[in-house]
Amino acid sequence: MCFNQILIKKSIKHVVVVFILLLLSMKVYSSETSSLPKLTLKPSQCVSLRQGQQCFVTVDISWQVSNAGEYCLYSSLQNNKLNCWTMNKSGYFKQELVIDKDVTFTLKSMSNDKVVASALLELAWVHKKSRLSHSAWRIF
Amino acid sequence: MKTFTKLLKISTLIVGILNPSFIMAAEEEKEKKEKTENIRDGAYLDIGISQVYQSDPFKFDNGNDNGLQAAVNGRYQKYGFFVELRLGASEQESSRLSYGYNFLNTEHWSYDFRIATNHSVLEHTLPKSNFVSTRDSQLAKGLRILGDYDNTHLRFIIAESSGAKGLYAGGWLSQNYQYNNLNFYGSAGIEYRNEDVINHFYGINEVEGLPYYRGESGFEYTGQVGFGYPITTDWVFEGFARIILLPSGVTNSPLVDGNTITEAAVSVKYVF
Repeated sequence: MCFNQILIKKSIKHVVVVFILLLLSMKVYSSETSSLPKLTLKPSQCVSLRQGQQCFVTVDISWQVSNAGEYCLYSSLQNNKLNCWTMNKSGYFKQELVIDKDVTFTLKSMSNDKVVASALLELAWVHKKSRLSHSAWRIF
Repeated sequence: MKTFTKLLKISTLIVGILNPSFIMAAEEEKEKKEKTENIRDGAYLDIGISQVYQSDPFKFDNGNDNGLQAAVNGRYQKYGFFVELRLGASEQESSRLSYGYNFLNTEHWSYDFRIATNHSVLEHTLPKSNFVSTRDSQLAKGLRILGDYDNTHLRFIIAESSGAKGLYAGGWLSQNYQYNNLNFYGSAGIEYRNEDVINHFYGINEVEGLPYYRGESGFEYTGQVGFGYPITTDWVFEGFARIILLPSGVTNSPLVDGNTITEAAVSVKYVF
């Protein structure tokens, strides 16, 4: 094989690698931009031992939007806003909660009072509540 | 399709207005179904692993129940007929496999006809002769009553038991508490076994190396505290500590050298 052929092959390889990297970076960029705005809860579930019990959880709430502005965070547990941010593209809030039903968190843009993003904190349990339940049978 | 659904709804409404018994019949059917369905029908299963500590008041059983053990709690009921399986140490009852019929349920009480063992099997390797004396635990019929008042649970059992004319009775009370997502309970139990049961398990016949023994009937008392914590919707972390005060009919037996049994365990369980 002559030197020129090897050089051409190597060049093609480089072009292919650059093209793949370009495609991947475009995919990452598009997924990053398409997933905004986002509101994330950690954890997204509060687990109690039995259905019907109150559930205790400390939830980390973080949000991210593409345009900076004034945003406020609300929960379905109360009418008052939990927190507001001005000229921010992201934010973080931590809250201790005692819940007996699912809770929805919403991020609103204060410029037009529209919901930008929302997320659900789900109430879950291990043992389903029922009269004379299985958990009652196995308590002893 | 939407029009058809609308028409169906309107015609149902008209038929309902003209003939209320049409709607009532549906409601009656629902009520009838609720009445015929047994509220305790269903299945429950958890499996796990426990680290167990247990004191051993038996002189010659050579048993060592300490260490890692499998734990299984299973129950299946259909049309009132049920089967229950318990393996592991967290229950205050010594029955392993039992089955029966749940014949009555009221708002707070449930009544079962049940066939179960009411004592664990004992094996003693007797001194000098090295004879292995096995005290089998036989399945026997009885009545079980379960009470459920929110965080308070009660259980009563009266049953035949191992022994010629074995009689067994037991009563337990358990109270649950919650602190954050951690659940605690405290429970107390009292069990009665007549002479036939005591002597089936702890009596000594004329066997080399041990004196003849016949014990009296008596009451056994149990106190237990425990906890349960949900790790996820499927995994639970549990633990308990228990003390059992044995009756004199048991503690006076040459097979026994203590008057209490203490047990403790922590478990991780998967709930199906």
